Amino acid sequence: MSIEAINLEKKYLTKKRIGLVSSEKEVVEALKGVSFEVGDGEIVGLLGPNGAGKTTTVKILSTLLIPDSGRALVNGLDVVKDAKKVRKIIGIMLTVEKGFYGKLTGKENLEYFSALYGLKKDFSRRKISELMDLLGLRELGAEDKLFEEYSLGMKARLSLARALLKDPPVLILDEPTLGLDPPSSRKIRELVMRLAKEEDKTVLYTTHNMFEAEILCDRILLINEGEIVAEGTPRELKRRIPKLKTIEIIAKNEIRTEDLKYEIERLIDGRVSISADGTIEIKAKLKTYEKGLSEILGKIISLGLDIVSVKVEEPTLEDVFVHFTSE
Amino acid sequence: MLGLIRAEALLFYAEVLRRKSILVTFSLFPYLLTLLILLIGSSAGSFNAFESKVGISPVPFFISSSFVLMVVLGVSDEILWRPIYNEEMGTSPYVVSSPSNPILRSLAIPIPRLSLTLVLGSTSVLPVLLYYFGSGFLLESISIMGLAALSGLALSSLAIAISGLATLWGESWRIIQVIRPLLFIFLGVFYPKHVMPTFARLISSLIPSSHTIEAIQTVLLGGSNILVPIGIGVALFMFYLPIGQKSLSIWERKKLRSGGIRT
Repeated sequence: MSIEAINLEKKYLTKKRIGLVSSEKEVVEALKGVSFEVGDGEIVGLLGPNGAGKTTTVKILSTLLIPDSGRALVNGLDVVKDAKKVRKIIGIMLTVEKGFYGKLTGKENLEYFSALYGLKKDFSRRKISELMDLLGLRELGAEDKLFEEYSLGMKARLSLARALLKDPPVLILDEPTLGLDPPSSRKIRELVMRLAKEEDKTVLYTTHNMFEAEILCDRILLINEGEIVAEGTPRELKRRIPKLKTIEIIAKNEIRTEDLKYEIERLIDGRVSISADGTIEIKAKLKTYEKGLSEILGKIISLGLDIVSVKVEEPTLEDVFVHFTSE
Repeated sequence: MLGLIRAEALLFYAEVLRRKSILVTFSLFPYLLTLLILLIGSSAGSFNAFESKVGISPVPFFISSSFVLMVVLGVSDEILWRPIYNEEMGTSPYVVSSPSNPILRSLAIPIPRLSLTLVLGSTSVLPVLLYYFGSGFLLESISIMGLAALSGLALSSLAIAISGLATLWGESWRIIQVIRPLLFIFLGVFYPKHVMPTFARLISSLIPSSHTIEAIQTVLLGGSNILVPIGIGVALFMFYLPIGQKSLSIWERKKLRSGGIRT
């Protein structure tokens, strides 16, 4: 296993203001025994609402926060006891819009962090040039542009470039596409996918973008109020929610259109509408896919309707997210 | 360490050369401060009175002192403000989570600045001292610039120790603001150590740079016994190194426990 979190717990002490001068200490339980694993070359999405514990988990794995109890291991190394060794094998991306020095160019910023990471001058020069091409920064003319003049998309690309400087086997990316335009988001996603599939890099990826999580992640961890509430592939998670599937049927009967509308509505739990060209559009809920579908279709055929098309709408990952995090 | 110095040089020179106003401020600082002191001083006494008391004309004395003060405060500023600056820039988590040694990282911070101040010395200390004492004073002028750089370096370990502890407080910049005037007084740069009251002299003696500044004043007054104060300054620098290391480690531990490293 590349990443292992074992029963991680973390509490924060915060101050609750009472009036102008007084305050009261408040304990916030950020993590309540979080455990999960991420395998080699796997992309795992950590999803959850704001304040669910995603960033706390990411910070612990990045050696930036010490848990109150529990353990976290990266490639078998303890993030607290072996922090220095862990820092050499992880690449982190924690924010998109900040994290670099404004008066340095993109290339100079990467040179600065290469030195901090103890990379040899020749290696870092080669690597920076390679990353500038890989992330399309050279193409965008961002290589010799001051960071303070960067667009958000350029900043995100540079941030990912820094995470890759050490060529680390493990990447921890906290909302890497937050606020980015579609081309930049796509670039980041494509690259992450490529890194995992071609270079066998392990990726822990947090996001609020359900579409992104669905197409990118091999597995998803849903975290809510400091606990992992669900875990599985996007398909597995969708199967686990009791949400009714929706069926959309388009049918035709040119003779008795109006009469049929009422007859169908009597037979099924759904909504029927008739369009100007005489087609009947039926939207109904299915209790179970196999049984419900044949039942509804049978009833419609028995009324003498010709079925033109049938579309079954699956629950989305967003439905899964809402289901597990709003209870 | 060389890599870290190179990185810091990149950051410092980018800031200075891309913000021309900083360069102008650095060049003008010794002149402006000297002018201010001379104006205040002349309202209470005369140039001759100062010369008969201290043994040197106030202009070369205060130009040198202002230059030294600029160098030393520059070092303390760079080290003390860096954690706050990193938080502002959002670079803090990436710096802390880098595998580099925190004490070496902090020691590397002021070195590029010192290289620039040495160059800037040639626009203040060098011309003024040569004007007053003639070309025969060239070696002494260069050694005063070198000793100023040493004074800055000597302060770095103490500044690291203070920086680690100061930034544990929520609004550390307030504490850091207080350190500036304290250094101003206790460095002995304008108010030589031997004329300080005992308690102030004791505090001053604990600051490594106060000894190297004593050496500078000795050179200015034509003396040559500078090895002892330099030795004490270097020894104190070494003494504060492990304290600085401990202070940084306490700072990191506390921040990592409390979640204080903002992303």
